Amino acid sequence: MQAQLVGALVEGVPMPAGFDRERLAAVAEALRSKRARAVARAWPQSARAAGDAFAARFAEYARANPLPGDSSPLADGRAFVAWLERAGLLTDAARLEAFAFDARHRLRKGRVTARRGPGLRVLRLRRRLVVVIRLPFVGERWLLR
Amino acid sequence: MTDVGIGWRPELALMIERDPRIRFVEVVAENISPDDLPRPLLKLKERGATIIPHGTGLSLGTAEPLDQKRLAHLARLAERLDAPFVSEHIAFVRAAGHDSGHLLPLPHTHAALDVLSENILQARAALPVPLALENIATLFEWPGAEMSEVAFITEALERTDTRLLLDVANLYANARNHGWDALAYLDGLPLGRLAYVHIAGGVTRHQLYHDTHAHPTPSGALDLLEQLSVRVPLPAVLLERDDHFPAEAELRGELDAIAAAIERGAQVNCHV
Repeated sequence: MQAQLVGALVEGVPMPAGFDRERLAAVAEALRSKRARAVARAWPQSARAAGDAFAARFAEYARANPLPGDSSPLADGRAFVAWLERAGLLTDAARLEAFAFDARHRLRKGRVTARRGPGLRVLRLRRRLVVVIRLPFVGERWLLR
Repeated sequence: MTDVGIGWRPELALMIERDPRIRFVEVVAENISPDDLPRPLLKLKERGATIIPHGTGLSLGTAEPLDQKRLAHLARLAERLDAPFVSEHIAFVRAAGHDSGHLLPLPHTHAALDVLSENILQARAALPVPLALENIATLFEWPGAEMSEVAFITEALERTDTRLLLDVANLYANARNHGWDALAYLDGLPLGRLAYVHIAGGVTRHQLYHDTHAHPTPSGALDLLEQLSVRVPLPAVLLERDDHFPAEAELRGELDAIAAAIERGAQVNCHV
């Protein structure tokens, strides 16, 4: 029954019997806007890239993508950014935001963990090349040209 | 003297650091790593502030074993922060691998009480400090209740010897949305178990009161705080603000209004 209730609230499966349908619909709506707001705060550039369509786009994404494993806005937002990218909706600022996240974090089964050890990543933007290098003792270095 | 504190959020770090009167804060456990504590938090700890790890994801009411990783995380945070206790909610968040990302109410039945109590005992055994549990705000209730929420909470706390974190704003929200008698609720609680108190703001939309933590504290919640303060000395009261952060002066004004409500209640009973 608990699983069916969660399913009804976040995945749109039929509501369990005996509950006040209007109240459950209000909760489902509150959960959607809470999730969207959390992602917009964790991913400001990407939310801005979607512009006025953010709420509608996020709702479309959220319907098809339940909350990731640790339900963190960081992980949820990374999946949303990938979804926006497939739709061709990312600005350079949003791409840089996702790049910075990927340089520092890893997503495993929907959980965010910090990357450790040396690493090198390159991002090619329209008018810029961004390189981030992480080395032992030296730490993280960014090169922009 | 009651400590009046505020939930520590990165957006509020500067305001908290600047205000030496704030000696009681809470961190959302899921947002903090015990091995990489934010520097402003370490500074607060040095200044002698109490920092409570406040969990939102343990899902004590789920009819499944607890997530041991989350439990270990809470335990480690309590140790790193020298916290006098850890707090969580009387709620469920996920079931059968589906995560709602939100605190959901439990059915007020004997079966749910057994599940909850079993999980609380498991959590308590894994934590190095006492546990305080909070009443949640909810827009809906389960059908088939066998007891009131206050009876449900009281029984769970008594059975497991656990402390109470009373959220007066959640009580205010539920009283409004479900027509509960908030004062009778206060009188039904085991107030001797009170660890601290939460208060927060919300907004009314389509005739429902939403406990958003993103709007000013309503006078009705402050009235309940005053009524609580009439009944029992309050160790600490904490304002939760999570979004749409107002100017510092406005938040300070809210903290002052909270302190004034506590004082008014305490005067009635002369336990200043």
